[in-house]
Amino acid sequence: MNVHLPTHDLTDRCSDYVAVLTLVMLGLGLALNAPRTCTAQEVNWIESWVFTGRSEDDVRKRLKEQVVLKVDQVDAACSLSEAQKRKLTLACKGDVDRFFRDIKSAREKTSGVKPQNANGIQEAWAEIRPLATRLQEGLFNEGSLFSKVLAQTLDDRQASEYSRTMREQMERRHRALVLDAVASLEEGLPLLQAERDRLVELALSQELKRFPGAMESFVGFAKLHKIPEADLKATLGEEQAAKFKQLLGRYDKILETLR
Amino acid sequence: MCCWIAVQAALSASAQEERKIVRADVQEANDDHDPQQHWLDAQCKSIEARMRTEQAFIKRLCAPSEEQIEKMAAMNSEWIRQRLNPQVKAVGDVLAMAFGGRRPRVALNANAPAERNAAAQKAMLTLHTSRLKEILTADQWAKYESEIASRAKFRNLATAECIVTVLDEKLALNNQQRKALVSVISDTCDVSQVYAPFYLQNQGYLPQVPNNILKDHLTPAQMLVINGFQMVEVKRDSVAGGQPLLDLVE
Repeated sequence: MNVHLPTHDLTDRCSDYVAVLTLVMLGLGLALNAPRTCTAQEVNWIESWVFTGRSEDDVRKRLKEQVVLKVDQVDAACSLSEAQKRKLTLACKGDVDRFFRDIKSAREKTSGVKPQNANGIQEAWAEIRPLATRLQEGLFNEGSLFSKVLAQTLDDRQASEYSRTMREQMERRHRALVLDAVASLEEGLPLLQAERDRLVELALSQELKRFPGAMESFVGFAKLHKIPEADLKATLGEEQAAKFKQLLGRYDKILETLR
Repeated sequence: MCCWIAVQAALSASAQEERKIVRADVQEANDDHDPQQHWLDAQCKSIEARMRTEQAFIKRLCAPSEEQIEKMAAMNSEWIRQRLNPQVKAVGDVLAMAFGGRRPRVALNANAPAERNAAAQKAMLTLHTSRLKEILTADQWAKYESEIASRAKFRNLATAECIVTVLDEKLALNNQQRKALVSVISDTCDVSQVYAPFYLQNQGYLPQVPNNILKDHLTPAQMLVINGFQMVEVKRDSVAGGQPLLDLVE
């Protein structure tokens, strides 16, 4: 039995070098012959950085669909009246409008920035980055008009049902992260099926005090980290439990913030 | 004139001989500091660690005999090197031809692309598993095979759960949709290499799930929403498209 390493990609790479060299020389020639008055290419920073290549119309359309879905989501959780649906829909549209107002203002500030202007690009990025994050994280989160109107619109029963739905969603999210953490851990410490099942059960029963959004992907490891040592030894045995601790040790500093 | 020709021929022969010696020296120096050897060293170390982990698991699972343990231990760093080295040399030879006899320091260095490293690891671990099958008894192998199948199934299920959680938060799935999607994704798609926490952290992106699966389980309104997100594939070890760069040859 032998291992075969194909070589075609490397010979291709050699011809790539020749092609790249040719292009560089061609580019150099063009640059030397270019007129000094050549104008810089206009760049649409908003489309590139906030909409990641999509058009504004496309993003508007997608957000409109998300408004409908968001209200449907609340309705499915706690049965809204028609009046409540209208109110929440208006609030969502308000968030979308506010977002596009901010986009318009950022567009005005960044439209003249040329790709050659390093300082200008930095300033444009500072202007645009919060908008990109807002779109990335969703427009209807905490602090949005939607969340404020939601808190005022739902009655006690609805609020409790909605909050239960959200809690269940978070539990599903944490369960998924625990499963993923155990699967990752198994690269260094393969488990028997019974050990794995017990470990998942133990991790899911651990409560975390806090988990800042940016750290959420570590929730699974944090819950594993929190399993009492006695339970760990009873599940894995002394030697395996020590290896488990050693493997999770690399996350110690990160996990401290989540305990 | 004849004398002059003879002197020139002698000089030329001597110069050629000298050039050969210099070239051999350069070649030797290149071999001593060959980045491809650094790549090999790094791979051997990492692959051996993974093989040892697996062998420790087997010791826990099916109490192998001393002889079996010895045979497993023989699959060490040297065993890996012997199997990877000929092909690394062959790659070097092709490059040497392309670069007029010199071995350029471009390929297979210690910082080789993740997909090349992953492919080397995958190929060697497959060889390791085949060898384990020869070493273990039928009963031991059946026990081990059942455990590795359960591990692979669990890993796929874990990722499928993450993917469905991401979809759920964007599409407000009902219980039936959630269960059906977890089941169909974990049973029919190999998502074990997808780095799912990325999607839980980055709200603007969705993992790639085949459209026919989504269509069967989502409403038209949910499909409209899903089309608005960017679907990207983020892999645990960045194996590009799952395309193996190292193939196993019997």
